[in-house]
Amino acid sequence: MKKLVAALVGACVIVGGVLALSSTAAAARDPRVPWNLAKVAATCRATATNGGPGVVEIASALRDANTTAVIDVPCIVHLVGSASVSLARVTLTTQTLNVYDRGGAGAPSAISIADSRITATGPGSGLLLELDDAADRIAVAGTTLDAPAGVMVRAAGTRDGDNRGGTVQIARSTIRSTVAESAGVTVIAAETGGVVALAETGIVTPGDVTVLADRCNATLRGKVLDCSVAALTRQLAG
Amino acid sequence: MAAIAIPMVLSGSGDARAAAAVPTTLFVVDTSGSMGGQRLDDAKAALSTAVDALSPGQVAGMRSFAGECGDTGTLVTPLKADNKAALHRDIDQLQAGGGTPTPGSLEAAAADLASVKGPKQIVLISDGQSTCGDPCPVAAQIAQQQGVGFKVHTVGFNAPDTAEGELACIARTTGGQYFSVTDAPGLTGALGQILGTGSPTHEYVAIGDSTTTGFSVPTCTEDRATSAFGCVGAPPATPFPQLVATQGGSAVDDLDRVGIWGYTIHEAVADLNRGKNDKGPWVPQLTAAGRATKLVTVNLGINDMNFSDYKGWLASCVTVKVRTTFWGLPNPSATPSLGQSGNCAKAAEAKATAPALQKDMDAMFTALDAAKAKGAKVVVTKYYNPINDKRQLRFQPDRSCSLLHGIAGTLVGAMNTQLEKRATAHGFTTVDLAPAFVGHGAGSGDSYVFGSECEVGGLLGGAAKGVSFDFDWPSRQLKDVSFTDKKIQAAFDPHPNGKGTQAQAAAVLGGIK
Repeated sequence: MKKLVAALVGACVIVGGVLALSSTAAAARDPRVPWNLAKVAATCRATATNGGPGVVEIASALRDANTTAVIDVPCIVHLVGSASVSLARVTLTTQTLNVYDRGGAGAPSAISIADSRITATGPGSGLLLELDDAADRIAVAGTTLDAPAGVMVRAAGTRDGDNRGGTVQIARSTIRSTVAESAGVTVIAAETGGVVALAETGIVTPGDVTVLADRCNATLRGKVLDCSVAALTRQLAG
Repeated sequence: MAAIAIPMVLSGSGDARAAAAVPTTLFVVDTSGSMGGQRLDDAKAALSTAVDALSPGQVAGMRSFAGECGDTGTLVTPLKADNKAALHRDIDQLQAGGGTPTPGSLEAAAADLASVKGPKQIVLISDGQSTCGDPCPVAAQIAQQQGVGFKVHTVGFNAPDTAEGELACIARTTGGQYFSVTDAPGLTGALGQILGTGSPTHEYVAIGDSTTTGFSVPTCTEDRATSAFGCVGAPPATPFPQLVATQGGSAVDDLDRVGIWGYTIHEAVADLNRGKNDKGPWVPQLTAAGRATKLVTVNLGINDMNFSDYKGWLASCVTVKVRTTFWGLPNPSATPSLGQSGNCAKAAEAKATAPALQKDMDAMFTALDAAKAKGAKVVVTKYYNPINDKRQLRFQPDRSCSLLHGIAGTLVGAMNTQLEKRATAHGFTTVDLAPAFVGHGAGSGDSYVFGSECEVGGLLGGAAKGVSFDFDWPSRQLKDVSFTDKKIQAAFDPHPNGKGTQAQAAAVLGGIK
């Protein structure tokens, strides 16, 4: 039974290519002005080492639009406090990219990506979008998220172990993770008070697909799937 | 705490008395060319030691074999009671040369024993593969002819894999044990175990997985080579077998506890067949079980279910089935849907009833028959659900944990069904640990396991906070991160804490009344 635990851990690390904030990595501090993708790319490149990814700490915001950018090293974008991300009509090619707001006191924040394409390259590269506060919100529309090792979009209200809330809305988008050993695609909000809404969004992966929240539905071509915890529990019971 | 007396049901039975009769023993020794030199010298030394340990009045003899196909070897020492002097003389005169005609020799050895009444055994020592075809079918045939009370124990002495397969098959087919040894002490030990001279018995033998070890996730540094329990460290809970031994009275206070962290039925059977533990110098669990005189508790199976693979089970059980065929757009006519109702139970049942696992379970329960034949009561414990059905937080309403609780319950239930079925068929006792853990799983305010979490969100979020994802820089290939963060693993730790092991012990003690 020992592996149940790993179990539980395994369930969460399904995004291959997730990075941790390395203590050895030199995080670039936010100068309190909005960042753009070119600056994130340059800073990640500058802070990456052979032992770890590049790290950017953003306390204000990451905003960009109508641009093409390349992050050619694994990169962590660490959102501090209520920092947010807003990208529109961008084409971003990256290695493993993790955007998250772990640590600290936390404050409501948001990630918004519209009409864009984010592609992680390299077989071990994954993509993580994660916010930890109950009022956090991740919204993706008209966008392709593509990472071979796995894609995880998570707003599970997990700060301080509260595990409550979080909202993920994905519409008219495609999420791809297509290498044979892909860890799959996970879209999740908290089992209590979390909301996931998928609308006309394709998920293409040979790996596992996990879509789950307290309130959860997915629509495609007019059909509605109930992916709420309650519905899935009923299904589990057979 | 007052001692609980173990009732007479654990005392020796008629079967035990019959099995206790000393078996007539025929040593069958491979003297083919490859056994020459030091190897034969070592075999002679080990055989001499074994002969010295024969019981007074025990009937014993020796056949050597080598040569061409069709050769059946020579009965160099005919069967006779108190035969030590002749055996020593003939052992000294063994010489090596020729091939390995195992099948014919086995048939001849069986013929040597044909007229013997009562328990009888062949002890076959060989270092090589048969040069005259597979001996296992011959073993099956003679086992059928000889009937109950006949066994062939085999010892592979520096035997290659192909030979080990043959020898293990002979032992398995005839109800004997196979031992794989590489040196003289190993051979001496194996012969000692076969003859009962080097194998101490115990009143109570507890075999099992991590739930018999007393370890929690944070306190277990997994290492099967160094630790007989598979963990290096100090267990924070008294393992339940130890409680059974101390609370069960004098009938079972002589305990041999052989639980191994992460152990499976498959591993238990494989270790039995190879005659040694795969990782360390530990006696195979099922071999140890055969030495119990009063009680065997069996706590295996859930790791065979890949209980740990929550990602996989989550996907199998409750995720939206949105794959390429649904939403990947190549097949626009496909209808997105939830998984089929009952998929999780079907997946769990499929896993629990997979032919390979069924075969392993049959082998394990058959091996446990030996313990029963010696008079030991065999108690198979059924698993508990380690995930609570709700998360209880101070000053907050309870939250449902139905999802993880349900998944865990489905897996546990499927395995328990198989364990119950076989235990009943073999006349063993089952003890259901589940009732004692209801309301006391991970997430409970009064947990009987070390874990405290039961929510999917907590699982994912917690992992995200704590796990150090380990990249193999600069190649940047993701490594297995499953066990890298004990904080997260500890949050969902399914292993019984002090209250849990006491609950296990109480259930077992109740079951053997």
